[in-house]
Amino acid sequence: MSTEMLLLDPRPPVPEPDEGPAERLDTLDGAVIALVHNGKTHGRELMEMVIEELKQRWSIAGVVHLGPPSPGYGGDADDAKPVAEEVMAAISAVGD
Amino acid sequence: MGKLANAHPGARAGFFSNALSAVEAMYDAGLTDGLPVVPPTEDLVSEMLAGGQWRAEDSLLIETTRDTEVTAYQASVCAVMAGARPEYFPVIGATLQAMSDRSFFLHAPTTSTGGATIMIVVSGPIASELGIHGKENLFGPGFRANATIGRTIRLVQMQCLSALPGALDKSTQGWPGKFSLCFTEHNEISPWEPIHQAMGYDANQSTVTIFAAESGHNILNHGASNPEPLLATFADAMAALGSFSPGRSVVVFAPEHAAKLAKLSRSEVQDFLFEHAVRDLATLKRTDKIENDPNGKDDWQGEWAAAGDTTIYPGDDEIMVHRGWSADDIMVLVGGGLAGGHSMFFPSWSRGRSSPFITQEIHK
Repeated sequence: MSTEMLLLDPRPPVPEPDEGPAERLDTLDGAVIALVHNGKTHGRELMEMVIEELKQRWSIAGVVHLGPPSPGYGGDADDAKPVAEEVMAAISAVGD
Repeated sequence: MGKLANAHPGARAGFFSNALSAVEAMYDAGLTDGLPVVPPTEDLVSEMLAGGQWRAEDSLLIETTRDTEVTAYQASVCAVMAGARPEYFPVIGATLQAMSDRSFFLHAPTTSTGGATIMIVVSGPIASELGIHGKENLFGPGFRANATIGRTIRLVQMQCLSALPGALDKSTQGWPGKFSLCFTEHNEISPWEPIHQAMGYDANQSTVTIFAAESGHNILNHGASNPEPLLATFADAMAALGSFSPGRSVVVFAPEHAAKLAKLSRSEVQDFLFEHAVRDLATLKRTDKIENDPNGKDDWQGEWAAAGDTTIYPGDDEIMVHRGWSADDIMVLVGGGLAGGHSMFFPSWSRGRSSPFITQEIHK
């Protein structure tokens, strides 16, 4: 004999994305690029190495750095918004 | 289907041949911390909600980094799953409210490789009313309130904040305290006032204090009978290179140790530990504990820190670096059974400054 039981779920609904993925660039020539580091030790230096590599392949117009003051600070959309308006591409990395 | 199930998404109806099959359904849905959970039926969740002062739609937790909210409904489902009783829900709600404090940066200890747990220290009359345990094996198994209040918080992190291992929870190793770490002080034996009174609350108020804690270190000393050699043992453990950081500390003195400190005030104990939990700068540089980190100046204190310079200079072996920034960074508590010289030191999450202590009053 079985019993019908209604079980509740604590998980939030999966949010619908506000917008689709950003438009992809055909080339980085002339692009302003954001380097987003995660605040970890040497995170910014690692991103600098990435941009140096990219500069050898494309004519990068500018670089904007963005990252939290410490790894414990998760970042803020208000900080990222002006950068998002300025740059054409962003590079981030996950690591420790 | 009742009001709660209609108002909130994700309810699943099913026919179950016995209680175990409902438990298995929760496993199948990924709604577990690895241990079996109590199937959260609508009646049980309604009873849990009634244990607190909140409506189902009230927000109990705001996690600002990912702009995520946890409602009383979601928390109450997790509390049922954890096996909590409805009368625990005011403590659970207050804990979630404390976790919302922006300075706690909840997202970081929830997701970090450091593998922190949310330590929950309950102080005030509600602790004994609910049976929150502060004596023998207070960090171990055996006590429903300790086990299920902390477990509820972990389930909220996993299910409502998506902090699932390997996905958003990137703990390198984690530790068993992530299942639950909730306790109170052994006030009957403590030479000091309960921690909430030390913070300025009245004796009849109750509070919860949270801390992003890494794994506890057992501090063993059965020989010392005077405060100085005893506290020196603690300071030595707190200054161990493996966990040395500018972060805060929680020290829970066993009653046997606390009795030997009875002539000292709590602040004198904090002062001693801060003064002696130190390493010389040369050793820290030699072991790469002072990282050449542009953010380091925000964490480590001292004129040398701002440079982030790891070169060892003459005199570095005479510059002493403290664990934490001040004696107030060391929370001193008393807990455990009457017998045994075993105390515990909990370092803070992270190699940096990391999350502060956050205290929230509990309202029934």
